[in-house]
Amino acid sequence: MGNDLHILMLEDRPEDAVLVKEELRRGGLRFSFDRVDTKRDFLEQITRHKPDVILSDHGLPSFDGLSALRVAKERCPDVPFVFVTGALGEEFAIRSFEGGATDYVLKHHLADLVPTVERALKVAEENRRHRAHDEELRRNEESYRLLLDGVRDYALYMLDAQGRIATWNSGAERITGYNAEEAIGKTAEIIFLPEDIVSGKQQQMIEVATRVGRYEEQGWRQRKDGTCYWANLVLTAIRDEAGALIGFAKVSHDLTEQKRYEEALRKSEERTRSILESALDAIIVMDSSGVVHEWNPAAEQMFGYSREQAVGKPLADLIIPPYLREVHRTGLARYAVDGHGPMLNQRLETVAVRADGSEFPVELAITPTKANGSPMFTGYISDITERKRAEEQVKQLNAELEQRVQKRTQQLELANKELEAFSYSVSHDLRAPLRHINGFVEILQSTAGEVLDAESRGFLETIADSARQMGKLIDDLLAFSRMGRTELRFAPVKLESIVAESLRELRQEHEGRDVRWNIDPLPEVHGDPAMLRQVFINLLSNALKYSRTRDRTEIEIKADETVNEHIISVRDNGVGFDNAYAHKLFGVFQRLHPAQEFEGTGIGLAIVRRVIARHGGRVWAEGIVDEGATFFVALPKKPAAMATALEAKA
Amino acid sequence: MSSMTKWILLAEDDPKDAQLTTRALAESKAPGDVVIARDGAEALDYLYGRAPASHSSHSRPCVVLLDLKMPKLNGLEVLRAIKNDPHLKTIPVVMLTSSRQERDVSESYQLGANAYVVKPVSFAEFRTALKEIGSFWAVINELPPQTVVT
Repeated sequence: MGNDLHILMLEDRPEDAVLVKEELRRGGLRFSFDRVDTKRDFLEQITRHKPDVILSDHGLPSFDGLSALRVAKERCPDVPFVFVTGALGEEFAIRSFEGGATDYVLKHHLADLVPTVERALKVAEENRRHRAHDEELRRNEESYRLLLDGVRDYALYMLDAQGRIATWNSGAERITGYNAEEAIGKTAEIIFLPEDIVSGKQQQMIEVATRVGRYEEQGWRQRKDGTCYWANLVLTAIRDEAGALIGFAKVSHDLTEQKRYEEALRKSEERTRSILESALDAIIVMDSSGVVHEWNPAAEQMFGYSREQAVGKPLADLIIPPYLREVHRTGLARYAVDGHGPMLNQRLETVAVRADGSEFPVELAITPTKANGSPMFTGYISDITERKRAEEQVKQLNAELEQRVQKRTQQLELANKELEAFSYSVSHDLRAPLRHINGFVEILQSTAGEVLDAESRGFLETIADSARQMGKLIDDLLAFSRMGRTELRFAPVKLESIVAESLRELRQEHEGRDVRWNIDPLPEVHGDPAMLRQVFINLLSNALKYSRTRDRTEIEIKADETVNEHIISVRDNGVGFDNAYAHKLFGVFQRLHPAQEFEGTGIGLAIVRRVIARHGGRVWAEGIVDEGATFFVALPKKPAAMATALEAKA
Repeated sequence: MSSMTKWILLAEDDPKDAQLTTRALAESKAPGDVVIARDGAEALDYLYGRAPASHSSHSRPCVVLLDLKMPKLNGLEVLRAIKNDPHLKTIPVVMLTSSRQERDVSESYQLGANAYVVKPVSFAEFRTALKEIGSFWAVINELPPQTVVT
């Protein structure tokens, strides 16, 4: 022992203490020495300056040795306590050892003192070491327990050999919802699903763990509240040194979230897979070098290569016709360089080739995706052979239709020619007899006028009149026919100028009459100027004609408009007409007044209607007998389309 | 027959028109005869002196009045034949027709017609028109020098 020992001696006789000191010194010990002889001093000493060894007499007048031993064991249990006494009874000896004394030395055998002290120190040292070890063990156990309790994500618990719960950590509590009180002593089946209890799963697990030392599984377990969780659990058999089964350690982890995630992932993959499997379009995935990674059943069917044959091969070699492969390769290369893909993200029509070498038209859409960082391309391909065939058919039908239209147009042109020939013949051949009638009547009048009586001369006059009337009819009929056949030349038309021109044209009919004109500002319309001029000449001529019996003629031209139409009306204060016959006004050769009163062939309004109809417009009239008539002309603001439609109908 | 005698060739298939026309011409101061051809072919026969009752194989009419609608050759065909023939093309040709068709008018002038007259329906006007035609072409108008065909 390097350091000096500190020795405390409880002794009422100083001479004895001297002897003891002398003996210790003689034994070669280096030490410091304190002697006390009262309980107060003893307590103070062991508290203030803990001794390495305590030597004690046992018969002190105020403080006996066994009491001192008790105090010492209480205050410093690891300090060896050696009795140094004159005599030692058996009973005292037993009581001292029971009280924890280390040894004793008789005063008349002080030669034993040093070996005894040395031995006591050695034992004390050993005891101290044991105690430290035990303390460490205890501390370890405590921290282990804290560790277990601190593990909240894992249920850690022990089962006894029969499968009853022996320990239960906070993780177990958290995961299962049972607290330690509820769990300990119960069978571990409290967390099993009912069907697992029925099937004796616990027993099977224990048997496996017993036999091979370990059992592991993932499966559903039930919480106290009845909900389930997906657990990963390991059951380990624990044996003592002799190999006898003590119980089992069970580690269980709640993997519900992970399980759900995996489930979702699996389902999503399943969905993706089933989309791929069930798609009618061929779906092909290739990487940036053009190698096939995915090849769905529709692709198998469409191209005649199985998935096994296709995956891993360059797409170009499989389905791209040789003359398009270069385009494919440069496209891929370009995308790799600058990410530019003019063919991507749109539908294209191109040609693909099957395993048997046959080519067919396809519609193709390629979308780029990034999977794990490397660019991939998904191609959706549909076989459009049928569609192409249908398109071809439509094209052919269109061509046929076009042909039919052309033929019909030719027929129409032919019919038009015939009509023209007809009107030519009318203008030429019908006029000749009229001229003859006229001519010979006039000759007769000039040569035989004097010999004929008045009545016969009247007959000749009537013949001539009728012939003239027929000539006028023929002229009007030809004009009407011309209005229907002549091609319309559309231009912007200022109706105000048209009306002014018409009035000039009709000068003879209103000069010398008291006519009061009331003309609104008129719009510009889109139409054939010559034809519209004819319309206004006819309308104004009518207005003048049927109002000439009035002292003062009033003619009003008004302009109105709706969203789509300009509506022009011409009103007069003439003889008017009965509205009941308004519908007849616009018919060819329809007249509401006898020719004796108002001359005319009944063609003027028919021409008006025809011209306006060809402009896509409409006409109507309102009249009151003896008060006047109003004629309405509605012209579409955008006439082109309608007029064309009507043109076609005509 | 004197080559100095002026005559008018009227090509008209309708006898009534022919009668009215000759009557109206008679009232004009037009000298000489009116020869009537009943169709286009006969009109050309007269001009070429092939007709059996040819008025004169050596003289030409001072004017040809041509109807448009005629059997065999129509007026326009006769006109084309006249104007395409170097010997005949100087003969004045007046179209006398009831057609007002623009096409007929323009085609006639294209082929070289010297005038185009629409027969008025009224006989009074018809008479006036023919009187003026007769006096203009047979009296006022100076004829081109005649090449004597031997």
